[in-house]
Amino acid sequence: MLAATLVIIGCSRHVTVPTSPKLTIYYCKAGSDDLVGFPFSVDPKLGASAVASYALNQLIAGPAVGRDSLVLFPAGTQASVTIDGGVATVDLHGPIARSFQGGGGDESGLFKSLTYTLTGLPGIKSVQVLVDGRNRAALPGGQFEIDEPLTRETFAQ
Amino acid sequence: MMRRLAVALAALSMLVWPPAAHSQSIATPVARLSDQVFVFGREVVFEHLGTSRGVAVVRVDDAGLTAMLQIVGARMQFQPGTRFIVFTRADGEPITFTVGSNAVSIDNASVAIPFGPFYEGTQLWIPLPALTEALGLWARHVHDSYAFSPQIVSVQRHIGQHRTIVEVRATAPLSWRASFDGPPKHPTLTVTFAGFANAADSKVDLGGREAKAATIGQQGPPGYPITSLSIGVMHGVKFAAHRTSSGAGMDLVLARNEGDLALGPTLATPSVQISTLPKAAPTPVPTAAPTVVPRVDGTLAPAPNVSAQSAPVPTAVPAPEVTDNGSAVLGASPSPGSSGGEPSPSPSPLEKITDVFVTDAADASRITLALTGPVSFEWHRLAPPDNRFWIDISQAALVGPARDVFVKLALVRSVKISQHEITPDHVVRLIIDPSQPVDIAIGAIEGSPNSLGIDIHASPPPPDAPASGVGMMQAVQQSPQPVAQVTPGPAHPNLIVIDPGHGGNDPGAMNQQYGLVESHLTLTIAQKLKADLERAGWRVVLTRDGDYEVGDPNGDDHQELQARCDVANAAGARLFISVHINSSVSSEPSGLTTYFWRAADRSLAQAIQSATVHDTGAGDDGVKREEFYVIRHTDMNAVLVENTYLSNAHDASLLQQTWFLDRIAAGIAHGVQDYTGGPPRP
Repeated sequence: MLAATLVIIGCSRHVTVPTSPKLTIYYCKAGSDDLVGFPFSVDPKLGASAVASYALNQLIAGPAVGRDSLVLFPAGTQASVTIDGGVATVDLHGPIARSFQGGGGDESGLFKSLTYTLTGLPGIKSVQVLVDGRNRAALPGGQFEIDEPLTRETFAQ
Repeated sequence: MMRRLAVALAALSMLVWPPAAHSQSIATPVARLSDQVFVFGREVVFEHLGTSRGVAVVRVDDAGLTAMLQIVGARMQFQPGTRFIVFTRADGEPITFTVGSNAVSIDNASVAIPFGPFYEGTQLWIPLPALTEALGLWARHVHDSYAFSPQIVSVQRHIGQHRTIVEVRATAPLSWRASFDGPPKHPTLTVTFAGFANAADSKVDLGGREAKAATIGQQGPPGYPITSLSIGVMHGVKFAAHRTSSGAGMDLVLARNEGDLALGPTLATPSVQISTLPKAAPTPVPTAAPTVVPRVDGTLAPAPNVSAQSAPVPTAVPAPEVTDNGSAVLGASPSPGSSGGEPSPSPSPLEKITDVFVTDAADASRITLALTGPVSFEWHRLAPPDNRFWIDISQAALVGPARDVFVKLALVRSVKISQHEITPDHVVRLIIDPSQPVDIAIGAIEGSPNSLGIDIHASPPPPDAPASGVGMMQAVQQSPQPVAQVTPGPAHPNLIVIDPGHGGNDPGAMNQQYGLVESHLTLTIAQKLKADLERAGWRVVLTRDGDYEVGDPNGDDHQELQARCDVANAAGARLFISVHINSSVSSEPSGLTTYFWRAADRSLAQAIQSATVHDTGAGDDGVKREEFYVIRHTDMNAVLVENTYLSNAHDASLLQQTWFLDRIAAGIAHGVQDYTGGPPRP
């Protein structure tokens, strides 16, 4: 039943985002560029910031099942999001802000899932990542450049 | 007798080493110095800067010293417990300091210095002025700050029958910018250099035919000196700028006829460009131009289009000329970095083809020939359905053997180059085999005067397209309007920079069960790769050769990643390869992936990926485009290789084996060879 709800999307293909009042949380499959989408229903009365915050929290918490094959934010990650003019600014805290010890594939997968999830929400075009409140070139110990807003085109092959 | 005494003293000092060094520390206490230090206008922060006997000294393990060396394209080798500290300048010249000795060896010549490196306790210090002078940098101490930059040591004129040449010589590699201003009939050509002038405000008489005089000026803030050369140019005069072979000089040619602007290959060879100048300078000198050729979007200029050429002129080399060597030497400067005294340009009947490489964009591919000067060429196309065409380059000598240039492009199946004729003419033939009917354009590449580009477009040729044509590259020229810097290809086409990922306080990924640390593995692979590439004839520089941060250990991730890019950019390398080991939250993923960012780097990534998968037998995860910092901020072809997964048990067991690391290194080296066809040979 749950498997039937999964939407597997290749990175170079067009992404179909469910229409309101649903949102989709995307996770990247470990060792690949493929995204897995988990659709959620949200209260249509919620504002844009509340929906974005909800989506971000769900993304960081991870899905209830199938976690082993997905790239997830490290345990203890905390995040907040603000929206301004089509840019969602996500501030990351916790262990990920001190040291990222994964590989390049996982690192880009995390940011891809974050970008696809938030830009799937109405009005959000790009995602600016902050680390402990600061604009950084990359995560500490990381390689992926995050000092400019990320869009879905960032991940085009 | 003195020599014997010196040898005996040296032997004695070695016998008593290291206790003598420690005893020396008693007599040479170091007082902390908090002065600011600027190198090429960039502030370098030293943690351990001091004074001893009135001279600035720095600890050899100071990250500031590493940063300073990176800015000037030099590197240091020192093994704790040994007496020798070896620096290699950007031009490859070795400089050896010996602990406790007041003689420094520069290219096998000894130079006396007030005192040499010494220990204070267990810490080794080196005198900063002696080091920077050996590196060709001039120092100025103003308001509690030191500024280190090259010095312009001479400006000489040579007035020939048809042109005037202004020779500028410096103590270290120069970068410059040129611009025209003033009324069209009496324009002023201003060339600015990052560096000191030793005779500011003086004038050099240029005779009045092509130009009146050159005035030397000094600008810029104390930390970032800039020398300007303002030349009053006569109406209708064109100019070309040529970097000297050492990089530490420039020859400015002023002439009315374009054919007189070229210089012989000796003076036209591209060399080092400094790429680390500050953005906020009042008269900014440009950073090094991208060493990748411009995108194929019309910048191949001014392309002698294949359909619109008349008969070729056999050679662009000017006739010999009698020169009036009246010169104005601005001052004697016995700096070890000086390249003064270079012979006057002489004509050469042959131009060398030093390198051939292929880059691709979305709808076109470009084949670039790196040359020592302008050439003429002739091209022919075979009749359909055969899409092949060939280009014969006259009066040219191919450096290296005939070869297939690696290509795996959608538009081009193969590119072959060979010395087709030696007598009576020297002709190099390039045979290109497109996979479909294509349109082509051939010409000098804008901004790279000694590069011939062949652009191959996916669109079929028009029905009336000719089947053959001829063309000739022009010597670089500028009209009286704002001009761009003359920008050759990679300053060192035989240099590769390898970046062992992570290091120091950033170990990267780990697998504790197998006792594997990414930063250790990347260094081991990088060192093996360096040896493999050096055996193949490449020069190789590592961004780090130990377990330490490349940038400031207390700096942030941006500073660390940029420091790695700076090594390659400042050195003017041909290729940049960042070595990593992958890891995932899942234990399932395995295999190799090579990442690129720019479309032009896809071919290099594919060559390395294919060869590494072949040589290791590891899984093939393919090439991927990803926004990794070090492959976005390097000026040359750049890739990042993730060599299997630490998180996968099978991969981890292989990564424990020396033979597997050997094969990874060999695979990357084979990929480099496949992509480049081997290093250019002098």
